[in-house]
Amino acid sequence: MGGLFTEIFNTICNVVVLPSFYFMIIQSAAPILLAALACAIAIKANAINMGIEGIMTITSLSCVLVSSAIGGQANGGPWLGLLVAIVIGGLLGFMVSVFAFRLKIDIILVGIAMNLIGTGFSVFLMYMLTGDRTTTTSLLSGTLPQIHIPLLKDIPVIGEILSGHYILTYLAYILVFVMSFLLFKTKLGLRIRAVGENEEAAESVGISSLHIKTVALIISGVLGGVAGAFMSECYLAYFSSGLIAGRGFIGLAACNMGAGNPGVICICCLAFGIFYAFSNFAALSNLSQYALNALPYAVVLIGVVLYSIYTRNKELKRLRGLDSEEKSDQIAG
Amino acid sequence: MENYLVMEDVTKIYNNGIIANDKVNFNARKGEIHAICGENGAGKTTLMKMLFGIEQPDEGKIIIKGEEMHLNSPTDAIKAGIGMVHQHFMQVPTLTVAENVTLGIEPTKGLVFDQAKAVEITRECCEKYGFEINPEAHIQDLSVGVKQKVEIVKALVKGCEILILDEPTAVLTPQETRELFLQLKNLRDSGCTIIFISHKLNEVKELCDRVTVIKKGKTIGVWNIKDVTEADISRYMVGVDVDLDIPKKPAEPKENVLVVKDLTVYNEAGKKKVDDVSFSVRKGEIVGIAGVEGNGQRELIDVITGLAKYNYGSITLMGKEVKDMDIQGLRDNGMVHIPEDRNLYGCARSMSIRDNMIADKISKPEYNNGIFIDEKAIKEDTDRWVKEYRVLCDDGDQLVGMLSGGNVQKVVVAREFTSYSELVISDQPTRGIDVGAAEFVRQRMVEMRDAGKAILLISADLAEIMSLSDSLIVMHGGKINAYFSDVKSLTEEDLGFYMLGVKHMSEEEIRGALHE
Repeated sequence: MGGLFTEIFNTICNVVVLPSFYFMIIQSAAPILLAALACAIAIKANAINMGIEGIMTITSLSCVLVSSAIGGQANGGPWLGLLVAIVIGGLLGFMVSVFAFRLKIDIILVGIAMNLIGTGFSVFLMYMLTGDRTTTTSLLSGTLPQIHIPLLKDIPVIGEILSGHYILTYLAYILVFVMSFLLFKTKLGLRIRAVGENEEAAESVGISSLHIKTVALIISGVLGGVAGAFMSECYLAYFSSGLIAGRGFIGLAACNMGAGNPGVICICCLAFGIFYAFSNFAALSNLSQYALNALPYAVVLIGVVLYSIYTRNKELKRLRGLDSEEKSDQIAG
Repeated sequence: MENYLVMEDVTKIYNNGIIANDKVNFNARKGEIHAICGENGAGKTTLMKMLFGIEQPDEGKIIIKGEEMHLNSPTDAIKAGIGMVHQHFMQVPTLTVAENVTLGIEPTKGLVFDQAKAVEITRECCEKYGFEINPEAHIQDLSVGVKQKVEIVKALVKGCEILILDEPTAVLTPQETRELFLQLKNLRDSGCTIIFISHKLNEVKELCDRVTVIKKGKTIGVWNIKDVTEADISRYMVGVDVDLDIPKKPAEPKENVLVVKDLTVYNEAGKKKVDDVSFSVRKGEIVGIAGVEGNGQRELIDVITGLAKYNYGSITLMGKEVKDMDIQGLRDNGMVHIPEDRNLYGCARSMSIRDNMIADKISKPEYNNGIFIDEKAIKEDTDRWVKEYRVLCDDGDQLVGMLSGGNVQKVVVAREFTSYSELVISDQPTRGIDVGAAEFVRQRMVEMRDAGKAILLISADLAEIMSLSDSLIVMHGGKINAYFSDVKSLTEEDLGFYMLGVKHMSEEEIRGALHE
């Protein structure tokens, strides 16, 4: 046992001094962040977008297919791919809202169905078009550009960490601010939050909750599309089955832990990013590769459990009437 | 101005056949506070729902300022200048006062919600009508009294001229109530018409100009408030049409089965709903709990039956503390429960009569053959119960959801009364079921009592509770307001006085409810 701890400790020491480790944290957190922001706007409207994983899968495949169809990198294929991913994502979000709120199917079931369709349909389509069941490496779809920020890129260490990311990585972090603005400063955001918290109250002043939830889910789908494009046009330059690997679900978890608040969500995603990056870097050590692969997921599980203990304690406090002692002079109706 | 608002011969029949309003007439003048009084289920709320466009009348007219209105939604009602303050506030807790007030009519600057303008609109309205509210405070940080003011401001901002308040003081402290009354009087003087729904007669007397009494869906009459006393109003509201004739011998109560001691229960909002209540139920007696809805009976029954938790005081069943018992534990110790909402808690509508009747006994050895269920034994017993409890159905395999309300209730009663029991909690056992089924259920309860069970009966039906109970507890404001060890000597007029808090018993008399 002692040996194992020494090994872990040594690996950590070796990794944390590398600027590229921090670069990796930022990059690994980006797709989770995009997924989490997608879930956030939906959850604020009280419409949980469980199907985010499926939306990411479908959109990541579609952007590869579109990109290669028009000739890949040279013809600006990745850009068109991104656009298509966004459109398809939005459509899928709309679909979720139609099934859940117009046809009154339980929204969790709609999400599960979306995830199953994502996995099954993407493999089917890939095999039909490329003859390959696992990856689309035969298609030359290309990647979106990396951005080297002038001046910043020349600063030692900081430049190495912050510059040279894919454009969608930067977009993910910019979207944290955009989403905060949308949710907390605009009329639409106000209505989304009102519908999400007290639908009756919103309806009573003439706001259509159906309309608001639909808009929220479409925006959610669009962000899911961006997250999908990130996976097949930034993270990798092709689509493969199992590419998303639970990142949509982890985004959902991060969204819940952040209670739908973009800032907190971003911190949660970065925390998960640390473990993604660590499991990547530690691959060179003697630690078990399987354990390392499972690490980010295990951390998410622990995080969610801790969060639920925290909320449960809050609930118990309320039950004990601690909050009510000062009001004890009130008499019941 | 006479006939400012007129509701003429308004009738509302719900889908389940209940006539909530039967040719009700109501009219209000401009600039008056008009009370609507009536018992639970008298039809006040239905009438107001129609005025606010939530429900549509089947017959009759709603006329405002001489013009007939068709109000198909709350939005229509708001446009017609009607505002409503619901008992449950229509507010979003994490938003600010200004955001809540302007929700639906948000001021914007381009894409951005204009926070400053919203605050200004709210502040102006507050100043105009003399409400002291900070428009930038978050709703969740406000006391109930202030939240209610926000609700009123919300209606006023939208230009409301007729304001409906549904039991507004039910959630307020006496100080808050006093302040609310002052503001309502100001509003009236500035020309607003206020409709005030309440059970609290002293408040009606203090605040209102006129009162309309509704009983069993019909208008009893309209009076100027200075021409009637509280006792008069109580008499108009309460009243039993028919005396139920239930044959029963005098009770012979024995030892305590359920003992509730110094019980205090807070609701989710942290408000005290049951306040230091003590009583006991003994073998061989029916103890009734009477009270106007919302006076703590709901919360009391929820904690006794294990549907909610409590932290102050104690409840013992057959000498055992029930605090940490789950529902199975309560049942093992002899509690059976006929819940108020039979469709939600009482049965599984999509399952058969047989399955419903056996649900709580399925783990018993007599219904099992090793690891398999003994279908034959179950069929035998449930078929017998169907006959015994006169459930009208094709056979035991019929789905409960296809039965009429009365027969569903018989299935629930059959299940509960054939289980091991020492204590029967009977919560509104005959609400909304036909006369025949109701009589059957009542007789069964008397039989259970004679068989030595302890029975706790909660009912809004005064005729039922007066004729069925051996002793009676009256709840008011979360406390026991009166205890009658002998119900025969009690008049319904007196019961009304205690239920509405016109009269109070002394501490000593109330302590008689706990037999130690």
